Amino acid sequence: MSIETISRNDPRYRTLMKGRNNARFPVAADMASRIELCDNAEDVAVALQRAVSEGLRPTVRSGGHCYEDFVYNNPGGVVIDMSMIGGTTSLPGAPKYRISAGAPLGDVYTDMLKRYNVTLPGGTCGTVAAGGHISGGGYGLLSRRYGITVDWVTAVDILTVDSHGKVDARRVDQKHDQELFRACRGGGGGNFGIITNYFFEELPTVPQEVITANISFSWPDMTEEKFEAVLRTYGNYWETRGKDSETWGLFTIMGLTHRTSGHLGISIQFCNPDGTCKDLKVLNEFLAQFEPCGPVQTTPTTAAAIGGERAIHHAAPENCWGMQMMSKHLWLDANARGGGGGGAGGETRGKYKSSYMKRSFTSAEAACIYKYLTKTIPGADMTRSTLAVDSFGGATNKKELIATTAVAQRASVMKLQLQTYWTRPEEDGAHLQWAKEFYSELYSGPDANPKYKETPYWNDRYEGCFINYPDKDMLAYPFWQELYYGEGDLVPALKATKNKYDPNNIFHHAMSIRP
Amino acid sequence: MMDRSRWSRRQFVRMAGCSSLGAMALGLPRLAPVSQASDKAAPRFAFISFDGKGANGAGISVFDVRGAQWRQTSTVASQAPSSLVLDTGENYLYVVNEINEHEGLPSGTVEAYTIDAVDGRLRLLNRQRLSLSATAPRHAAVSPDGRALVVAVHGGGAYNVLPIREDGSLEEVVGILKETGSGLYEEQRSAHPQMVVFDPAGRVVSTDLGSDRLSVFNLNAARLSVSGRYEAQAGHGPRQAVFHPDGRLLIVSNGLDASVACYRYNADQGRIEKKLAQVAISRGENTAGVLMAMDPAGKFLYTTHRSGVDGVSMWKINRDTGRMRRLQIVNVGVPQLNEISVTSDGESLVGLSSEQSGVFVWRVANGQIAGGKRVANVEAPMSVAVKSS
Repeated sequence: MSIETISRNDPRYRTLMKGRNNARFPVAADMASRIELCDNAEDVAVALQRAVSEGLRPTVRSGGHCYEDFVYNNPGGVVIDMSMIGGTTSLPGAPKYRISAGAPLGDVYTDMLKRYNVTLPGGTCGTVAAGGHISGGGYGLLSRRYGITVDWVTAVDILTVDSHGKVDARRVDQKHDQELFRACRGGGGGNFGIITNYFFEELPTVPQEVITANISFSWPDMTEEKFEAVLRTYGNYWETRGKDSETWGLFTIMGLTHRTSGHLGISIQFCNPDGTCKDLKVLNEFLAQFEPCGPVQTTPTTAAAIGGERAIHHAAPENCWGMQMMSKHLWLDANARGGGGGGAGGETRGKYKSSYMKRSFTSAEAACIYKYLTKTIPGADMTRSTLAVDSFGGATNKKELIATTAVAQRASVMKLQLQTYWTRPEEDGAHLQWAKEFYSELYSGPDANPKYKETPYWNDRYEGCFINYPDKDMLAYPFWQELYYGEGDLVPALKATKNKYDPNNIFHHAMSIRP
Repeated sequence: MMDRSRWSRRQFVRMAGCSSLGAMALGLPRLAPVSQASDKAAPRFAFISFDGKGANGAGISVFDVRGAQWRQTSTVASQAPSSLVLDTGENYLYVVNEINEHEGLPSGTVEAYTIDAVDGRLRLLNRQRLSLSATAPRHAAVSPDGRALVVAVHGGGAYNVLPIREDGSLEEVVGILKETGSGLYEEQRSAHPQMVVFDPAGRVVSTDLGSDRLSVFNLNAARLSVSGRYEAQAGHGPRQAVFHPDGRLLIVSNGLDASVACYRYNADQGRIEKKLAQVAISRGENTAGVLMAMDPAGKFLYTTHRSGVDGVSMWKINRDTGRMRRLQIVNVGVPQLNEISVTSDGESLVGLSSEQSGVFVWRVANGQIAGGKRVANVEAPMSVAVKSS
C-alpha cells in the first residue's frame, strides 16, 4: 500500500492539479482538496473508500486528457490518480491480454508489441491513457481496419460503490454484470465506478509498416469554390470508395485549419489489410483524387500545422508521390512517438466539439466551414483553430455491436472534431464564442432537423456527437444525452445501470449519466 | 427492496415534496440569543411559496397578516420554491428551489432575498447553483451567527454550505458533504437528506429519509464534518426534526411510518444518545407520513395525520422522559395539509393545503386548537415563513 497523498500545502499540488490538454481547468475556487497518487488497484480501492467515507466527491484521472472540467473542477473533493498504474502483464484466470487503466497508449503500443505483437486500434495521441480512452469508446488510425477499442474488450475490472457506501471490486464481462460491462464499453468515464483493468481475449496483430503522407493546400491560394471541391472530394471518397474493405487500411485526418495558419490539408496513414505497404494502389488512388484541387508541396512544418496536436508522424521524406512528401516507418515509431507527443501542452487552453457524418459535405456545410475558417477576430490568435475531419466507417460500422457496446454510431463515414487552442486567458471568450457560433450555424442549415437545430442530431446525414470529445455547450439541449448515445435503448440502459451500480451517484460530472 | 404499496408513488412524492417545513424559523424555538427578543412579537408578513400550474406559475407571495384576513401585497416569481427560511434577524429570506437542473447542469439552486421593512416586498439579491449532483434540494437553515446557509439536498443525497455575505446575499457553495446509504423501501434506494436544524451549540442536525439516519455535523469555515451519527429504526424514513427549547430533546417525525420519535440529545458533545419514546400518529393503510410543528416555548407539539380524519393533534412532551401525551385531536376539515407551522408568538397554527388551494389558521393560544379559518387563497402552496420583527 503506497498511496501518495498530495494535499494543498504540498509543493507538487499545483503541478499535479492540472490536466495535460486544457489550462482552462481547474478554476481556483473549484480545486480538489487532494490528489491520491495510487500505485495499484488496491490503492485505488483504499483511496476511493476513504473519499466516499469522508463524504467527498472522487474524480478520476489516468492520462489527464479530459476536454471538459469533469476531473479538475471538484471543489473540496478528491482526484484519484491512476497514471502510475500502467501494467500490461497478464493476470491469472483472466482473459489473455490486460491493459491497466493508467497505461498511456504510447506505452501500450510498445509493450503489447514486445510481449505479443498485438495492438489496439487506438488513438492518435500517445499520452492519452487507456482509462479514459477505452471507457469512452476510443478510436484511432487502425479503426477503419479493426473497429474501435471497445469492440475488442472482453472483461473489465471496476470498483463500484454500493448503496451503503462500500467499495466493491468487480470483474465484469458478457456473463457477469452484463449491463455494467456494456456501459464500460463506450459509455464514457466518470459514470459508474473506477475501471482499473481492461481485458481482451484477442487483439489485432501489429501492422509491420505504414506509409504516412500528406496533402497540403495553400490558404493564400484558396478560393471558396476550391475549398468546397476539397471537402466534397474528401467526403465523397469516404461515402463511396472508402466503404470497400480493401481501403480499410487507409486512415486520414483532414485538418481544416484557420486561414491564418497558412495551410490546410490531409494527414494520411496507410497500410494494406495484410499489414504491409507493398501495394500502394489504394493510397495512390486516394491521393490522385485531389490533384484537380491544386495541392502544394508539403513540408514538415506545414504537415505539423495541418495535423495540429494529432499530426501523424513524419520523418525525412524517403519517397514522393508527385510533389507530396511521403515516408515509411516501423508502425510503432509512427504511433508511439516516444510517448511524449500529444496533448496541447500545459499552458494551452482549448475548446472542442464533435460530430459524426454519414454522408459527404453539402455546399451549405462547406460554405459555413469556409466562413468561420476565414473569419478573423480582433485580439484572438486563430492559427491553432481547426476542424479536423477524420475518416471513419470500415470496421467501425458493425451495427451488431450496438447491442453489446455503448457506442451507437455505427453508420458514419467521417468523424469531426472542432478544436481551437489559445494561450492567453483573455482570449477565452473569443474562442469559445467562435466555436459555439461555428458549430451552431453548421448544424442549422437546410439539412438540419428544425427540432434539433444547432446540433448534428441523428438523421440521414448525422449521428450525433462523441462522448470522449465532450462539449458542455450541448447541455443547453434537452436531448443532449441522445446526441451522444443515440435514440435506441442505450440511454435508458445506461440510466438503469447507473441506478443499479451507483445508487448514490458517487461518480458524477456535468455530463455524466444522470440517475 | 420492499414495496410500500400502501402508498402510491405519487402520494409519497407529493407529500415529501411539500412538507419540508421550510418555515422552521417561525414555528420552532429560536436557539440563537439574537432572536429571543422577537419571539413574542406579533406576525407582520407571511411569505407563501407556491408552485401552481396556472397563470401565476411558481413564486412567493407576500401577505400582510395584521388582520383577520390576510392581504396579498406582492409576488415574485421563483422556480419550485419548496422551502423558505428567514435569517435570525428576519431581514432576509432564503428560498430552496427544488429543481433537478439549472442551466443544463444537474443541480438545484437557492435564492437570497431582502425583505422591505415597510411592506414586506421581496427583492432578489442573488441565486446560487448548488454543487454538481445536488439535485432537488429540500430544506435549508441559516446558522445562528447568520453567516452560512446549510442546505439538505434530497435528490442528490448531499449537504451544501454557502457562506452568507454581509448584505445577505449568498456566496458560491464552499462545503459539500456527499452521503451514501439506503433502506428497506423503494424510496430508500439512496441517501435522501430532508431537513437541517441547528443545535444550541451551532452544530447541524439532519434527517435522512433514504438511509434512516440522523446526523450531527460540525460547521467550521463553511464546511461540514461528522460529529455523530445515529441509525434510526429501519424503515422510519426520518424527515422533520425539531429541538425542544432546552436543547436536550430532539423530536423527529418519520416520513415512512407516520410516527414521531423523541431522542435524548447531548448538546455538549453533539451526539444523539438514545431514543426515549415513539408514538404512531397514523395507523393502518393509507398512512402518508406526518407533519409536525412545535410552539416556541416548547409547551406543545402539533402533528397532522392523514388516515381516517384530516386531523391535527396537540401533544405534551415530558422533558425528562420524552414521552408524548396527546391532549387533543381535532378534525380540522382540511384534507392533505402540506405544511404546518406555529407563529413565533405561539398563538396561531398555520396550515397550507394544496388540495384546498388555501392557507388556514387555527388559534392555539390556550392549549386548545380552535377557530380554523381560511385566510388566503394560494394555488399549490408549498412553504410558509412569517416575519414578526
